[in-house]
Amino acid sequence: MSPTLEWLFEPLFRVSVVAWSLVTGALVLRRTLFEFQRSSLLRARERVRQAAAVSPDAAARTVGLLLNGVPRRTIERIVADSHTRDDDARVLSTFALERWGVARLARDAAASGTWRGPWRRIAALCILAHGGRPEALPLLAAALADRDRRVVSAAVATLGRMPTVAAADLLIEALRRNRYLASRIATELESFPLPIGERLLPLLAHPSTRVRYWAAALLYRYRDLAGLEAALAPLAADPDAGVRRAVVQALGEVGGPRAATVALGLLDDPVPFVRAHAARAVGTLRLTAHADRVAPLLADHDWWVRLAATEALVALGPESWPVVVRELDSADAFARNAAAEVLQNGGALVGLIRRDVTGELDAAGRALLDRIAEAGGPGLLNLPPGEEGDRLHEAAARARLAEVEP
Amino acid sequence: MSPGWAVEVLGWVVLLCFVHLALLTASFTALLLLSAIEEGLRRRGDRTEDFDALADSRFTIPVSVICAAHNEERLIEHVVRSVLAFDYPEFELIVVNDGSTDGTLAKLQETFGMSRVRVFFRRVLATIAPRGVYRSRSEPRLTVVDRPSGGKADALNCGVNFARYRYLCCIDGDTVYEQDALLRSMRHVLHDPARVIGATSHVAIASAPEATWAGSGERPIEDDVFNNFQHLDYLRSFMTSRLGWSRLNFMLCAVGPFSIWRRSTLVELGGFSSDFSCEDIEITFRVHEHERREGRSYRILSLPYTVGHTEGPDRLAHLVSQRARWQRVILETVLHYRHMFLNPRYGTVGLLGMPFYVLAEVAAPFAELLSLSTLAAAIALGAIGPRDVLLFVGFLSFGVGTLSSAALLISDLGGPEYRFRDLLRLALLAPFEIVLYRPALTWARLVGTWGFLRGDKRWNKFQRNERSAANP
Repeated sequence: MSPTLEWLFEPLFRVSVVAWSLVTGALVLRRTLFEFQRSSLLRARERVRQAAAVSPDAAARTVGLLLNGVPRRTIERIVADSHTRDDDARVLSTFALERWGVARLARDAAASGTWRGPWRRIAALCILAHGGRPEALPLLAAALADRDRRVVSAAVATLGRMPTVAAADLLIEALRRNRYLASRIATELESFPLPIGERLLPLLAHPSTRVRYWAAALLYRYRDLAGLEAALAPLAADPDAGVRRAVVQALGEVGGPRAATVALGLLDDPVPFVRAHAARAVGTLRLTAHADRVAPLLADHDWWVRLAATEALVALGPESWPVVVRELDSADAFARNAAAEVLQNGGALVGLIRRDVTGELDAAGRALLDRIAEAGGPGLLNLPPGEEGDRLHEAAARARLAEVEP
Repeated sequence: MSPGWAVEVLGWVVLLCFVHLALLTASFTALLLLSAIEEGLRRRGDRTEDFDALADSRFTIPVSVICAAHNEERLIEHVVRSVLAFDYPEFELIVVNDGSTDGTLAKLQETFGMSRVRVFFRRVLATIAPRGVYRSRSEPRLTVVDRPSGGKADALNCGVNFARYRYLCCIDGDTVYEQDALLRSMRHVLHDPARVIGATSHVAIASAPEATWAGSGERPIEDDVFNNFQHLDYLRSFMTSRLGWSRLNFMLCAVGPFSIWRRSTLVELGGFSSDFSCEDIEITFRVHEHERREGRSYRILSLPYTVGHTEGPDRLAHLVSQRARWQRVILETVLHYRHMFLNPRYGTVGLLGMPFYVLAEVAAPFAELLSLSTLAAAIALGAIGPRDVLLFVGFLSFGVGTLSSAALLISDLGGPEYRFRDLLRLALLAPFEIVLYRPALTWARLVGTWGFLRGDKRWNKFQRNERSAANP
């Protein structure tokens, strides 16, 4: 006896139709509600703006009237959303604090709920922070120590937008104590709305390599900070290569006499990425007199150091060309090619060809053109279009850059 | 064989098909619920993220974007422009021109002022030697590597050799990307760089991807029903399945148009493989297999963002050709990694992912064919009446329609991407998919299965749509 399943068809059909109707209905309802909320918010913002023009009290009354029937979850969601404008978040937070009270919100911000997860807590923290409540900071400090990474992440982002030094201190403390991903905390400290260089400076002496690294990496923004160069320079001898790299990178941007010494010293560092950053720093600091220290790195055994040396020599400009020309005869093929590239990117090559076209180039110049052509190989030039380009192209061809594209 | 006997056999076959259908329904329902949870968590995490700080920070992880391009003359400029407009602090774009026979390279040279340079690079992966390397005069982040055609996998490996950064974002040369695609996706890597080794996200179908990219606000959906069904198909796959896979950490397909990988992982595994009809599914399986075998803690994420827009086939034959290739690579990959099937050593990949693939991808075309044949035989033998046939087809239609509407709902919860009327149009079209669109996919899967059995490994890239020719 075979099984018969026809009896199933009708109930299955009914279930699927009901399921589709419910889900599609939910979709339509959700979008309708969203559109309504969006237009209501836009209208409300306009009305609050008009009321604020009359008086702060009028604005507060308008906000109260407008938001009275709005569910708490909606307000929480908007305040906690990083895309919400600060002005709007402040207005909504002030309303929420009045409506639900500081004590209740502080209680919500202290611990995550059992079934709602951390979101009400995160929203409460945002409301307290946007509302400028003093309770916000200790609660955010507690949130930074929470086991739930979502809470910590939200606390870091919220603190990063609070324009108070105390918020920066909490973030710095989180960095010291390794509360969360250092790179994320550093991102907030990097874009912190207040100058915090003085608070970062002591971290350079911290026993933790990680903390020293991030302090050095973050201090590049504070070139006018007193004592920064003096504090960074000794770390060029740090046993950790990452710290040395961060130091030379920061000093490259901060500048000063010690910066030059550090950058030049680290050109001989045993770790390739430190040498690479030191070379870049020499370029950034425009230490043209020391191009001869960078040029040999074109033949470094590490690829990234070679690239960094090329960039640095281009940045050093025409003053470095005599040194670069020497590298055209290097035993290393890349060094020869990179030297030609430096002369190309700096404009030396086109300059030589132009002089050749006008007959101003002497025999030594033509010999140099040949050496560059040999080192750089075909396809080296970027020539301007038009008649001048054609003439330059002919000259380049004479200089054995025969495959140059006009 | 007497009709009575035939009816008896038919009854058992029908039962078999129903068991398959029941398992599929249960799997998709469970995945739908998991996807909704995953999307909710990701959405809430996004809301509290400080994207402005991330977008300007020098402490984000730099990314090498690798674009494999083969005969993409019509779209390549838009693709490159969309990538160069990424709202991400530090990245480079390496376009590998994989032996294009059209004007792809010339277009790039002309548009971005590319000039040939001599560079040295680290050959960490074995690939066909490049013919030339070009750098842009106007855009220092752009490098073009020109080489003879060697297939997409080899082209991507060639890009890996030129890549400077720790994370790679592999993209297609026919997909135009959203400005925030990289930032939103890399956010998840930035929060857990120790474990997240891969990520992928949703790409939408558009007949003119570049036009969509140029627009702003909610995206208009085209009036073309064929295009709409493909759109729904992609959306459903990502929003109601892959998010769920990701939640259970058996995300088995980081799609070709947008996949982020940790460079060291790819290099350790020898890069993308040219031995399969398509590289994306295989590399995802291989990474899972390797990481599980090594006992590492890792994550490959599927994300709920629309990161780009790609041109879908506008003809049935092209669609069949494309989907047949997908089916071939699924079969090749599942067969190759069959040792993971129901193997507890591979955790959720072996115990859930592989069985799901076998059920929903490998067995599905046979089950669908069997169901259709059985239905036809039952009608012919008078074992089932027209009313029951309609009820059964109706059940399937609204079942798939429910999944599609759920995908739209999940997508909409993350923020309105479609205009209201388009949302409604897609939701109302969804139940017709099983009758108007699904048969083509079943046919394509059968063609793909046949191709697999014959050992066909061709790429079968679909011909660009007429629109592009008329209106480049």
